[in-house]
Amino acid sequence: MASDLPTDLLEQIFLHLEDAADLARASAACASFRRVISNGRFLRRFRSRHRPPVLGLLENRGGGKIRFRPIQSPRRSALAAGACADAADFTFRFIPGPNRCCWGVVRDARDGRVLLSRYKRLWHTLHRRPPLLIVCDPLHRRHVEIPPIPDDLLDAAATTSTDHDGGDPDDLRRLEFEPFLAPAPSAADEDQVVDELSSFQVICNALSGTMLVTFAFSSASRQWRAVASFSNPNYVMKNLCSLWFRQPANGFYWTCFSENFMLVLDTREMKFFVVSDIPEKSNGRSKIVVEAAGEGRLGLLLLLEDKLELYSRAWQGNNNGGVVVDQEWRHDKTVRMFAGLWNLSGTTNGYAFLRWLPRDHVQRWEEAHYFTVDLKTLLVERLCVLEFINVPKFLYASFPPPLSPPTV
Amino acid sequence: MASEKKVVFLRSSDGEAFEVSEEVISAASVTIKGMIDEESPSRADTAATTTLAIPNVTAATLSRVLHYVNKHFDAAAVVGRPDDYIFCAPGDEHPLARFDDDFVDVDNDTLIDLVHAAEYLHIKKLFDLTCKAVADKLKGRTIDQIRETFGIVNDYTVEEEVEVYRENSWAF
Repeated sequence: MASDLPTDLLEQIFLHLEDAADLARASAACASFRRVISNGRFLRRFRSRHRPPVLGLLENRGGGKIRFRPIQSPRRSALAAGACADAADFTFRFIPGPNRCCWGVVRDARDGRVLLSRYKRLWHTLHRRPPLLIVCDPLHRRHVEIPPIPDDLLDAAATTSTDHDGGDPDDLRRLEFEPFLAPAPSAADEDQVVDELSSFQVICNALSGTMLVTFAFSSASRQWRAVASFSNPNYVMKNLCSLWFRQPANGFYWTCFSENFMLVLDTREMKFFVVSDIPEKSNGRSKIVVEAAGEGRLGLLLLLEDKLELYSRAWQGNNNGGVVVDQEWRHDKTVRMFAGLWNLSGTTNGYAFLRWLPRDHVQRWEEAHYFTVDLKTLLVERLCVLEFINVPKFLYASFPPPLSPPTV
Repeated sequence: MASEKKVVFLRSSDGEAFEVSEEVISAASVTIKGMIDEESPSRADTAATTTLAIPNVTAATLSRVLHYVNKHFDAAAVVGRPDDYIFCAPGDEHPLARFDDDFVDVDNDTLIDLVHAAEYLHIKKLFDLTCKAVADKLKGRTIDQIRETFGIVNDYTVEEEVEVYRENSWAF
């Protein structure tokens, strides 16, 4: 009966499945289900509607070593994580060339892709030069090398900054760089989005003194271009290592320099705006811009002690990229968590991930507990327990094989 | 009378006619709105009501569809509430959520008939609701349970089955 349904109806039904394991079991039930599910068009539609499940954490272990830590059961995607860990190569040995071990630092992970840069012995030098980057799909063992940001672009950005605020043109030779992955710019038409799922953007922020320039590399054009810049003496941006800039919602990238303000890039307008009146005091790195309920609202999620507070407010971009806000922050929701030391460790694919440590200063910490927060529902879920080592970690989310077509 | 609401009759494949407000069914069904728009020049000056043939839908299914349509698309009956409010507090659900749950709590054949009817009549909300309900019947089931629920005959050859089981074994 159900197996007699036409292909397009079956597609519509399977698009409502959320757990990749349900999809995998359905495709094992009969040949006609499998034909629909393994079809590239269906898989691309499914990926554009559902976020990939969180499969684990990628850790920079230092010394150019990367380690994948799959999530632990009882989480429902634990099986998918195991399958992924078996099928993928998280040592990145598939990258050819004599110096392959040099690609030993994870800079970002998103949509199943991993952005790597070369390992530098001294961590601070990592941020000092335009990074050499490579984008990988560890599941399909594919990679795309990203050319460095051309000098003429860096020079042009320096000139603009000098015109603007009388700064030192040599400033751009003292830049700090922070690259990250972004989805390809979304097209209005769903079919176009579907076609573009294998394309991506690398964004690189460059900071010098009071000026921030954002460069973007598109996999379609294979070109870097300067997309936006921000400079304002009232907002001092000290160093980029603390800069922390991601995209949780439609076209926003944000960063937090201090307790007092956040800088948000609206990628539709390619303009920066400042959000300065943060409703509650929270430290620099515990604020996230989220997709808010309703049109024209900006959401702000704050991690305070052992609770999450969600605020939102109406906003409107203007020609200067400023934000015209016609009302106060509205408090939307509080999520209480258990007591302890919570720390916001990163975001990707609509999730933030938190680290929890017991609030016990006498006891030496041996284990750190990791949790995810779904940025749409604010559901907090256990991710894994790892030994306590303070190294950079990135959330890795992807559909497991065979539901995941190549992403680069 | 101008104040009286216009109605249309829908005739099912097995010949039963159902009365429904023209305004409500036009808002719900793209297909029926198209039929009414085609008819309208000829009936503007007559008081006669229109009967539209719905050849693909049985009376049993059509009466269920109209029950849904009257709940969801009759402006007087629906309590105003934006559907896209994503931060609903627990227990603060859409007023029709319970109706929808009960509506799709039916046997598989009835549900599949509703999917077909919603697709034919082009009622997007109902189509999404019924497709999701079918998908819900797949969630968390073993392969054998999926086959049993949907009356599927395992049509894989032995070689194919080995291959399919190997590549999806993580999900079993």
